[in-house]
Amino acid sequence: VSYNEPTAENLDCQRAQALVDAQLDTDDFSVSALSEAEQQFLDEHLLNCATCRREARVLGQAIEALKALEPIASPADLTDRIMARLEWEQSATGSTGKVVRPARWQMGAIAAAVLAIVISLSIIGPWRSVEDSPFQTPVVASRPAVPQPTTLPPVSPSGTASPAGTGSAVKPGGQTEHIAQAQPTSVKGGSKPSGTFTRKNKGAPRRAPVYKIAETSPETVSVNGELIADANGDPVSDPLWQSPGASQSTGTEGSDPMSQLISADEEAAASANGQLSLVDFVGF
Amino acid sequence: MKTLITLSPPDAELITQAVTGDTRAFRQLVERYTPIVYNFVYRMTQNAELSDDMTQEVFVKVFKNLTSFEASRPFKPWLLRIASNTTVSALRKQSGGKSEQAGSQVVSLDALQEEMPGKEWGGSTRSCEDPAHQAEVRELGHRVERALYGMESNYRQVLLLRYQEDLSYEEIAETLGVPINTVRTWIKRGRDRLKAQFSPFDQREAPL
Repeated sequence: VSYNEPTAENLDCQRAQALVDAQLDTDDFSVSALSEAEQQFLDEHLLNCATCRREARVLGQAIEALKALEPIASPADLTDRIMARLEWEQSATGSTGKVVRPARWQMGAIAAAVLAIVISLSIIGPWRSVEDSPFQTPVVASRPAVPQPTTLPPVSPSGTASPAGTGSAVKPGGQTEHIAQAQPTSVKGGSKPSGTFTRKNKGAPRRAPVYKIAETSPETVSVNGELIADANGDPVSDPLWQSPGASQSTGTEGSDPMSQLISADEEAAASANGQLSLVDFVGF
Repeated sequence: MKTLITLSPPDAELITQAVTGDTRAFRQLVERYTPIVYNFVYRMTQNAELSDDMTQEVFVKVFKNLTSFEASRPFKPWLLRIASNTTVSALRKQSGGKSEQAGSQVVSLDALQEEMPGKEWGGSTRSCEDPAHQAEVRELGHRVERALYGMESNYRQVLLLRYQEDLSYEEIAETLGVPINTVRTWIKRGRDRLKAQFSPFDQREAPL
């Protein structure tokens, strides 16, 4: 609080201070902010009032001192560092300098899709056990001891013999990959092994296709009559090298013999181990 | 602070070039305005390290938002608006969300002089003048600094924009995003605080 703040009684002092402020508020100092009458009143008041004269003087001094403050020098290398940081941020976020984010509607669509998937999975619920759901049908109970139609011929990358019923091939990178194990895969309903995950649909138990893997020549392998490996064990068609996951994602499981073969094989293995069947994931 | 910018090309041209990806044009803008931004931020924060960081931050924001800026409009108020917002946010963070008063502590002059050794306080020094006058100018500078750092940040901000950066009331209103009457009020209150800081030292009878 100013030591000589004008009182309510001193209206002339208040008016004089308002005029001083108006003078200081003007943006164009070349033109007086006051009318001729106002200027005359202010001049006369300052002449006669020591308090207001001192106030005006102090204020003028303070503002002049503020204007005269020397600028604080910025570090000499600041511009370089700013440009380096910009370059770094640009490379991190793209040429526009903005982080690419999905639009709000895109976020909504993504959220809806995720929700739909979650709901679908909760309905299909391959992870639910029979005990959890009244709508369960056991998928695999036991496999009948059906004689194998054929056995996988002993094929190795080099064409040498491998254990009966298995096959292997070498990928272009030289890595040996297990192909399949030919087994009768007909599935029948029956008692569910304890702890086995089951499918939810109540229809007839799914019957997995039976694949006939035959030896077309001493060094080649065929599935249902289709040649899948040559004498060197190399694939003769691309689907052979598709992973089960890739087969699922492309939706070609039904038509791709190899993916079906893998499905049947893995299901058999999973069922035997009391684990989740691969095809159950796909929502049969 | 009066900054006479006589460099060519003008801001608008540099901005137009920078928007199209001309890094050299943007660098020219940075070189031109770094001293202004740094000085403003320093006057607000009194912290060299923070001022350095904030100045960088300001130009990153400028770069990211340059496409939304109309090159025909004056660049400085827009730039200072970003500087102001960035600085006020930093001050709020520093004060842990306390009120405006958090940034208005009175800083001892000794501490300030230790922080900026060699700096002449109180405005431009005129070596040809007598030592008594120089001492008086320095003393006035001390008082202004003390008054500035002792007031609320919004009042300090408008006084700096008005009397150091020479912005008009309208430009300050645009810079701070507040009505022009608010600017008038803040400047008036800021001046009152300046005056209050000066008055106890000046009980002399003012000459006619």
